[in-house]
Amino acid sequence: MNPRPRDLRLDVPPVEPPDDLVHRLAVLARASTPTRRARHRVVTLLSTALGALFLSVGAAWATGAITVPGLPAPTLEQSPTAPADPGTPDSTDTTDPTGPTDPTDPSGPTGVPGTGPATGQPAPGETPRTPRPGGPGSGQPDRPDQPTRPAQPTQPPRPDVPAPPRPDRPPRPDRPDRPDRPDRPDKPDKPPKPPKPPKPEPGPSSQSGPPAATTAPHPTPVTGQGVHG
Amino acid sequence: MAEPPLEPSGSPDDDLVARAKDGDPDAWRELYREHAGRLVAWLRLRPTGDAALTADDVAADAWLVAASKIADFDGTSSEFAGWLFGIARKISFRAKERSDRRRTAPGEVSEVGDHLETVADPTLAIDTHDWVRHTLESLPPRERDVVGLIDGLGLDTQGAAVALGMTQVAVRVARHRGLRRLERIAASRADLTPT
Repeated sequence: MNPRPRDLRLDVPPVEPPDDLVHRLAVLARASTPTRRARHRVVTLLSTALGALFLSVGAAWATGAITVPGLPAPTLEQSPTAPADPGTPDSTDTTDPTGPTDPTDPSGPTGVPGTGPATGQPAPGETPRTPRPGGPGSGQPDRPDQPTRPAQPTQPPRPDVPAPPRPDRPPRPDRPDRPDRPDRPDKPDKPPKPPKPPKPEPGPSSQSGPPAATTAPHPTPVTGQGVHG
Repeated sequence: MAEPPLEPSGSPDDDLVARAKDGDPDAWRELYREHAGRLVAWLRLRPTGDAALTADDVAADAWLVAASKIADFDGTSSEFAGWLFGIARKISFRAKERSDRRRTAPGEVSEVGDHLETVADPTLAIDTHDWVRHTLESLPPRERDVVGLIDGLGLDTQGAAVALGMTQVAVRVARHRGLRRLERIAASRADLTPT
């Protein structure tokens, strides 16, 4: 059976109440008084409305949108950032990008002439910078014979303004520039192993004897510290 | 009895409610005739969880609470139904909470009340529509309450919203879903019935 709304309707017959119950209900109704909850609800609504009104008016007065008679106008504080003086150089001035340097030190912030980092070399396709006195790499001569490293393809081109050096950071002496150092040759071929002498005692082959590679003389790299300068 | 037109909540009292507020027994008798049967029938759809607490007990408590708080009510006699049903719903809910908290297993009511006088159950007439109760029991509680109040007992949307503590929009949505679910249930039962 498909229940439709009219099929769900229950015809409830009227119920005749007992007389004692009716009289009891009537007595209770006579003694009924509005509870405090209803009055408290009205007071709550009024206080909420008044509070919202005061807040909105106060906010409008504080922002200067309205003027309330009897109250002084709100003093708007000056903005903490003063207007820029056109005569003073701002931070975008590129007159000395190297930052504060010691004027008595002619070698610049790196301190050691000729041992500046190789980062001052221009990349291919980049205009070489004019060395300035006291700047990084100022004592480094031109070395056209030194192979230059190709620029990284993913790295964006660096701006012309060099990064300011850090005066409190000493130069890294572990990787000096060695222009006269020849290219590192390939690994020398290992000398042929000498034939093993016949073992006097037969037995299981052991791995005694040092490998040839460990005993092979390794070419010592030539440092360019003494040549340079 | 023709129901008065629907009026918004907080409307001025009609003559019946005004007389009931003054303590007129005839007004209370008329209100009781109009709403008591529907209230008991609706409460029977809502289990209290306590076998010793019947729907008639909850309905009687609801009437007493309504009479003691009639001064807080403003509205017509039609809106009085929703207010009364809301009071009964809260009483039933509290009874269910109390029963769940106590977790008692009362004895059979027939054993306890054999010596009591038996009164005729005025709601036995609706037991002929027992399939309606079984059909409504297959619905979720929210939809069952709404469909039972509106389509089963004839309350309007506003009265059902007041009785259930819901908005009228939520009542309409729940009724729509409940009726659609009933149609699907009836269709599935028809498919299972051998022809």
